[in-house]
Amino acid sequence: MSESSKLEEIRVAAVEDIQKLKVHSHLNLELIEEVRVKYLGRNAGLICILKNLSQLSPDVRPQVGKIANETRKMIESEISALRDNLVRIQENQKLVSEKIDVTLAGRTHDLGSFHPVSLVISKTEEIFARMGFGVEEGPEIENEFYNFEALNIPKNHPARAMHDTFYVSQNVVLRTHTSNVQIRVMQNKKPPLRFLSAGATYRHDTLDVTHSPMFHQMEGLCVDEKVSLSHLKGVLTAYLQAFFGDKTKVRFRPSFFPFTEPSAEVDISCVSCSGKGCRMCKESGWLEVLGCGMVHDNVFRAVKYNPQKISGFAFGMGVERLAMLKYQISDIRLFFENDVRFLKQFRTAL
Amino acid sequence: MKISLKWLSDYVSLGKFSRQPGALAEKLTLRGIETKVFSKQDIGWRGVVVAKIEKIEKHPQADRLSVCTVFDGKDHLQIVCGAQNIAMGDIVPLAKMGSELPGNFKIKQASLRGVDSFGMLCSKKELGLGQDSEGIFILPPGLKLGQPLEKLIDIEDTVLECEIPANRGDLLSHLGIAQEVSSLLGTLCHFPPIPKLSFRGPSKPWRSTADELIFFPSLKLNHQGCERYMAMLIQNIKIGPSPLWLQNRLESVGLRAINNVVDITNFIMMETGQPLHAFDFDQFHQGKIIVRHAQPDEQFVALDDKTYALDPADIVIGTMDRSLALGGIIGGSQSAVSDSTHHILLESACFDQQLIRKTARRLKIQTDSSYRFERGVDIETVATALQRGAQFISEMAHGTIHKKVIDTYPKKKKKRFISLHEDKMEKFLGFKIQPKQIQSTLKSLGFVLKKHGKNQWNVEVPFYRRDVETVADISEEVVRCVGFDKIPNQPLQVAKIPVSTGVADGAALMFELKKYLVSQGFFENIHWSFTSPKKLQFYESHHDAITILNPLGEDFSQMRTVLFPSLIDACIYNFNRGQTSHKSFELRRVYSKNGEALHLSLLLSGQAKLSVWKELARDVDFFDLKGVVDSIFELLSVIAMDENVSRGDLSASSSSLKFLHTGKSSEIFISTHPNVRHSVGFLGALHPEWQRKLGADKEIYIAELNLDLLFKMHREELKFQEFSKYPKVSRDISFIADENLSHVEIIKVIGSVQNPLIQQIVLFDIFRDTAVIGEGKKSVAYRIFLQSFDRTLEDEEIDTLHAEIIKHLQSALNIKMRD
Repeated sequence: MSESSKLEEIRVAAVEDIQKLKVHSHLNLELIEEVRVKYLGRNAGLICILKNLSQLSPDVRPQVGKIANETRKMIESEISALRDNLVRIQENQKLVSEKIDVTLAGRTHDLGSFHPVSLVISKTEEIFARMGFGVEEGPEIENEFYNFEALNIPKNHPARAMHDTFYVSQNVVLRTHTSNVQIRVMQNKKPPLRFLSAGATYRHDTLDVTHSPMFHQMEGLCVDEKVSLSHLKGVLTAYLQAFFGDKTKVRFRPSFFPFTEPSAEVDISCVSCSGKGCRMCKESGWLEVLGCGMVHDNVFRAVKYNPQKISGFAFGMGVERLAMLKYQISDIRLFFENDVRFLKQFRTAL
Repeated sequence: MKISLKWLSDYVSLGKFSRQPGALAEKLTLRGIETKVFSKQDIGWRGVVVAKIEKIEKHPQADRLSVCTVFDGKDHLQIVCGAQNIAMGDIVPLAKMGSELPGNFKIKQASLRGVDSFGMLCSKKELGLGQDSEGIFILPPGLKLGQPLEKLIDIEDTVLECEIPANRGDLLSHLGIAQEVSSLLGTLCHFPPIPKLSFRGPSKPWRSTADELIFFPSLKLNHQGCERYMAMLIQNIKIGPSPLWLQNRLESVGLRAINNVVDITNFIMMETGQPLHAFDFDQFHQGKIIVRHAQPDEQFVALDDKTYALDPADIVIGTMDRSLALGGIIGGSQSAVSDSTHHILLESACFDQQLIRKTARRLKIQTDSSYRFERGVDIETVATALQRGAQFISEMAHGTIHKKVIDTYPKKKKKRFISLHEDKMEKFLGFKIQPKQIQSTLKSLGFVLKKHGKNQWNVEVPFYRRDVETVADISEEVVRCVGFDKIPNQPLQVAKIPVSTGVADGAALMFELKKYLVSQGFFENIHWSFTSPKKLQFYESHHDAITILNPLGEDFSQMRTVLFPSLIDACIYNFNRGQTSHKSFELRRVYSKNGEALHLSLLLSGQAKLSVWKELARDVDFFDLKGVVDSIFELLSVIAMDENVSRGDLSASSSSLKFLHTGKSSEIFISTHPNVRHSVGFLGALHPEWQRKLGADKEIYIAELNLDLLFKMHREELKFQEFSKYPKVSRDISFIADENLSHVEIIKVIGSVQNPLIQQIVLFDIFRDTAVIGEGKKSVAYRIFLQSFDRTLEDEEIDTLHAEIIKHLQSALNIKMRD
C-alpha cells in the first residue's frame, strides 16, 4: 500500500473516531486522550510515516510530507478543540453545582473600636500636625502652681470658681484643665513653640447629662516672635473647618480667661440646623466649641519668657464636647459607661 | 445677671432695640457679654382690681380662715380668705367673680365651710408677679379703689439674662450695662444725678421724740480688708411696702420685695452695682461701730437664721463684743431691718475682693452682695450709691438723714495710666485699627486719652475698670468693640520648630497599639480615674493609692492604681445587657504616691467569636489572651524573656496576685540583659472566688502591662535580615511525658543542642488518654524546622541532628519516645 493511501486510511479513521467523540454522551478527558495517543502517540501510524519521511524517494516525499503534516494538524486541532470544549463544559457545570448563597453572613473578623474621645483626639492631632503642631504631655495630679498661680489665677480669684477643684493634698490638685502643660513645656523649652496636649481633666461637678467630674481637654499653644490675634483666628478657623466640615461658619466672641488677654470663645454654626436655629443650639444657630486667647503677660513672666519680645496664643477645648457635637451624642455619661452598644458605633467614624 | 430693658432705658435710649431685644442680646454677646432674652409674656390674668379690707372676722367653722368684707369702690363684697398677713384697712388685689388668674383659673362664687365667698384676694405668686405665696399682696395705701391692677403694674417688660465675665465686676448693674450699651449704640448714657441731700437732723447729740439721747457713732477701722467704709444715719423711718414701681423693678430682675428700706438697698445695688446694707441702728446700743477681724471662736447668726463659725480673717461689722454683719456678705439676724425699726445705719463700703471670696467660699454663702465684692466694686460709686440710697429712704420711708457722714478711706486710690502705641497694638492684633476709632472706642467706655506723640496715648483707666492693667487689656477693649469678626484669618508661617519629640513618639506608639487592638476586636474603654477604696482593696491594689480630700463620694475617693477592675465592671455591665462576648482594653494612666504611669489593660470573656453559621462558638481561654500579649510585644519589638513573653512560672504569680486563678495565670517578665528580668505585668483568669463574689457567670481573662517600662526598653532598630535561599526541611519528634513537664522546659532542652540549623520548634499536637498512655501523662509532638544559609541539607546530616536532639531529650527529661 502506498504511503498516500495509508495516510488516507488514517485520516478517514481519525475523522470517524473524532466524530464518535463529538457525539459521545459521556465524553471525558481520558477518551480524548485515547484517541490522541492512537493517532498522535509515539507509535501511531501517522507519526511513523512522519518519522520515516526521509527514507522516501524524493519524488513522493514532498507530497506525502505535505499530506501527513496536514493530517496531523487537522487531528491536533480537532483534539484540542474537543478538549477545550469539554473543559469549558465542565467549568460551566461547576458554576452550577458549586453555587452558594452569597447572602449568608461573611466570616467576619469582628472589629473593635476606638473610644470616641480617642477618635477626636487623634483626628485633632493629625489636623494640627499639618500646621506644624507637635504633641506634649503633663501630669494629671498637679501642683497648684502649675494649675493656677502660673496661669495668672491667684488664690481666691473669682476665676477659681469656674474650676471647682479636687484636692489630694493642701496644694496638690487633680488638674482642672490641660493648661498646666503650657507652663511645664515653657519652663523646659525655649520659643518658638507649637504643640497640642490632650488628656484627662477633673472638676468637682456632679455627673449629669452635660457634666462629668472627669472629662478630656485638648490644649494648644503657639509662641513665637510675631504671633498675633489674627494668627489665632486663622489657625482655629482652619481647624474647625477641617474637623466639622468646610461649610462650617466660625464666630469669635470676646470672653474672659485669666491666662489670656484678649480672650475669646469660639462658636460654630449649629451642626444640626446649620445656623437656622433648633433645639440643639437653643435657637441661636451657634454652638460654643472652645476658648482661646493671646497668652497673658503674667503667664510669660511666670515661665521667665520676655513678653516684650515674644507673643503667643493658646486655646483649650473639651474633647467630649467636640465629640458630642460631631457625632450628635446628647448625654456625656455615655462616654464613661463603656456600653458596647455605644462603643461599637465608632468602628468607622472619623 | 438679669437686666430689665425698661429699667435700662431709664439711663440709655435703646432706640429700635427696645423692640428688638434679640438683636441687642446678640450685639452684647459679640462684645463679650453672653446675653439671652427672657421675655415676659402675657401675664395671664384679667379683672383683678384694687380693693380695701373693711372688716375681718373669724370664720365660724374654721380657725385658719377669715371672713373679710372688702370694698372695690362700688360694692362691698364678702370674701373668705386663708392668709394671715392682712389687716383692716389694707389695700389688696381682688379677683372678682368672672375674672381669670394664670393657668385658666376662673373665679366663681364659692362656699367655703358654709360661708359664701364672692371672689378671691391674691398673693403675688397667684398673679405671676413673684415667688411670694405666703400672704396676700399688700398694695401701698392711697390707690384708687376699683381700678384695674394691670394699669398699676408695669407688666410688659423684657428681661435679658447676661453672663458677666468674672473680671467685669463693673457690669453687675444696670448702669454698667447701660454704659456698654451706650458705647455699642453710640448714644449717650444718662446717669442719675447725684442728689443734693437735705440734712434735717441736728449735728450734735440729738434728742429723739422719746427724749432719749442718741449719740452719733464714730467708726473704727480695725481691718485691712476694708478699702473704704461709708455710713449714714437715717432716723425715724417708717417701714412699709415700697412703691409698686420699685417692687416691679426688683421682681423683674428676680428679687423679692420685702420692705421699703431693704427694697431700696437692693434697688441701688441693681442700679449701681454697689451693695448697701441697712442696720437697725438701735442694735449698736449707741456704741462705736467697729469694722474688725472676727474673734477666734466667734459665732455669727446671719439673716438666714443659720449660725456660722467665724475665722479671724473674716471681716465683721459690729461693736467690740457683738457682730452685727459679716462685712460684704450677709447681715446679722439681730440687726435686720424689721417693722419695728426706727433708725437705720445705711452702709456703703468697699471690701477686699479676696477676703470676701475666701470667707464666702469657706462658709458657703453666696449673696448678691458677696458676688459683687468678690468681683470688685467701684471705689467712687461707694459714695454716690450711698447718697442716692439715703435720698430714696428719706423720701419713701420718711426718714431724716443725719447730717454727719462717715467716710473712712485710708489709702486713697490713684488713677492708673497706660501708655498705648498704635504700632504695637497692630503687631499684637495682626491688623490695623484707625487711630480715630481707637480714641472714640476707648472714650465711649469711660477711658480718658491724652495724646503723647504720633499715634501714642496716655490712657487713664476709670476706677471701675479694675480689670484693665496692660496694653493687652486696652487692645482687647478696642478689638472687642470693633468686632472680632473684623480680625482677619491669617495662616501661621513655617517656624523652626523641632519636628520630633519623645512625647510624640510615645503618642504614635500608643496609637499603633490601639489600632492593633481595635483590629483584633477589642473595644477601647475610658473609665473614671477615681474609684472606691473598697474596690482597690478587693484586688489588693490599694497600696500607695492617692486619696482625694474632697471626693464626690466614698466610691470616688481614690485614684486608680490599676486599670483592670474597671474593665471587669464594664464587662459585667455589658453581660447584664445581653452581650455574650466581651473584649475590651484601656490604655491610660494610673496614679500612686510614686507618680503616674501609663498602663495597658486587656480583658477577654465569653465567646471567642460570635457564633457563625457552620462553625461552633467556643469560649475564650488563656491562650487567646496570651496570643494578643505576644503580638503586642512583637509590635513593640521588645525582646521578651526566653522564647515566650510570658514565663510559665505559675507558682510565682499565684503567690503575688491573689485575685488570679493559680493554675491559669502568669506574671510577665522581660529581660534587658541576660539574667536581669523585670516584671512588667500579668495575665490570667480571675480567681473563681473573686468571680463568684462579683457575680460573673463566665470566666474572665485579664492582663495588665506597665507601658512606661515597655516603652523604655531598648528596641532594636528595624533592619532587613538576609534569609536563606535553601530549602527548609522538617522532622517530627513525638514522646510521652509527665503532665507537669512544661512546654518551655522541652523547648529549652531542644534549644540546648545549640545547632544553628534549628530554625523553629513548633508544638503541633498534645494528646491525653489514660487508657493508651497512662495516668498523669501526655503525648506531645514537635515539628523541628531545619535550614542552612549556605547549602541544601543532606538526609544524613538531618538524621544525625534528629538523633542528637532525641538523645538530649531522653537524657534531660523523663520521657518515652513514640514511633
